[in-house]
This record gives sequence, structure tokens and C-alpha cells, in this order.
Amino acid sequence: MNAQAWSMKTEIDSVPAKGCELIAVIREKLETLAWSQDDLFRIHLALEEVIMNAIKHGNDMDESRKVSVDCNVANDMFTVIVKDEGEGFIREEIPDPTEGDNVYRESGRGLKIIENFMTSVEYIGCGNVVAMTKKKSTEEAS
Amino acid sequence: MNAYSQIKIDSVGKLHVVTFVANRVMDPIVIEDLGKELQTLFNEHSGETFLLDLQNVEFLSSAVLNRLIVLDKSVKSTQGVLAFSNLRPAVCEVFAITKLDLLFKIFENRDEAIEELQ
Repeated sequence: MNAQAWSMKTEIDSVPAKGCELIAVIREKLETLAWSQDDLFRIHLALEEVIMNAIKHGNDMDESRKVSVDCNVANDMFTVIVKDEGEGFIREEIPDPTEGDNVYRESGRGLKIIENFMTSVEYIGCGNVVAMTKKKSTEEAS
Repeated sequence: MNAYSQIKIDSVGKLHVVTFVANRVMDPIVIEDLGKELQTLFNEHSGETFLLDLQNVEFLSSAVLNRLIVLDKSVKSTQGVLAFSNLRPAVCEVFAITKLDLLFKIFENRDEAIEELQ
């Protein structure tokens, strides 16, 4: 078995604290697999955004709705698929937080952060499924 | 009396250098308390200069960024200044991606910031 490989598939209630607990578990695992602090920061922030979006905006904090998280680390690649039970969204309709007065808004930066920090981000179906990958940075790059 | 549990303050005249107690700022309760303590500090020293030195900060939730924007507006409304120093590369990256680096004064290190802000 590859010592650098790990996977986890789980489902959580739409409660922010449950999301935080799950992120902590994934972060801890990546730390044991020797991912750099900067990569951990990027993955942690992207995970926080995508899971909290699923809980708050996708499932409207309805505890009866679940968020499923399918996470995989293989060689130097981290992959996660997050799915909520909401109606999804159209990426193009989300305002750019860096344009004009949007910079002063107190929210709305999540997708921008995710898309810059991860190697790839894909919004699947109606947008209620987000698949992200992150390639492990080389020491020079991180 | 020290009313602050989430921040440490080192004041020189009207410049207040603030560090965070937590090195991973991600717990919603900690973020809430942190925001309240910073607002209290800013209110107590209205119109003065505040340097948030993030040297010991390993992780910063985006909820903290959102809170900092609110606090920045509050400081600017009293003609005060809110600045940052010692941002780790990934934090710098977040500020650049979201263009918050245009909103905030950012210095490479604490000494440079103090020299400029005093």
C-alpha cells in the first residue's frame, strides 16, 4: 500500500461546527503526509469555503440535509468532491469580488480564493457538486 | 485589568501593535471574540494607529478577512489607520487574490511598519 495515499468518504449534517471538525481531520491527515504549511493553508481555506458554502448556501443550514465529502490523496495530488442537497448556482452569475466596490463587501470572496488556491475546480451539474484538486507544491514553488 | 483574551497589545504613544494569541484563527467563537476585542480596542483609542502583526498566524479563516474589512471601515471612519505586518506568503496571496492588499496598508515586517507609522 502506498504510504502517501489516503481516502475518506463521509456525510455530515449541515452544521458549521461539523464542517470545522471534518476540515480539522483532513488537515491533520495532510500534515502527517508531509504537505507543506503553505499547501495546508491553501487547502484548508479552500475546503472551508466549499464546505461552508455547501452548508450555508447550498443546504440553507437545514440540519436534515447532508453534505457529502469524498476526499482522496494519491501521490502528490489532493482531490475532494463536495456535494450538497441544494439547487446549485451558476458560476457566471456570482459577482467578481475584486471589481469596483465589491472589494469593500464583507463576503463573496470564496470562489475567487478556491479557484486561485486549487489546481483545478469544477462545478458539476447544477452547481451543487464541486470537485477540486490540488497538486503538491514543490519546495521552491511553495 | 486586561480585558483581552484573544489579542496582545504593545502600545507606543498612539501606535498600538496587536498580535493574535491563536496561531490558527478558524474557530467561529474565537473569531467572534477577536472581532469584539479589536473593536473595543479601536473604540478606546479612536483615531489612532493600529498595526496587526501576523507573524505567529499560521492560518486565517476567510471569516477573519470579512471581519477585518468591517473593522477597517470603523477605523477609517475615525481617521485612524489599520495596517498589517509579517504576513506569511499564503496570507499575502489571499490579500492579493482578493485585492485586499489595495485596501489595507501592508508592511513586510514590524520594524519597517513602526518606522513608517510612528
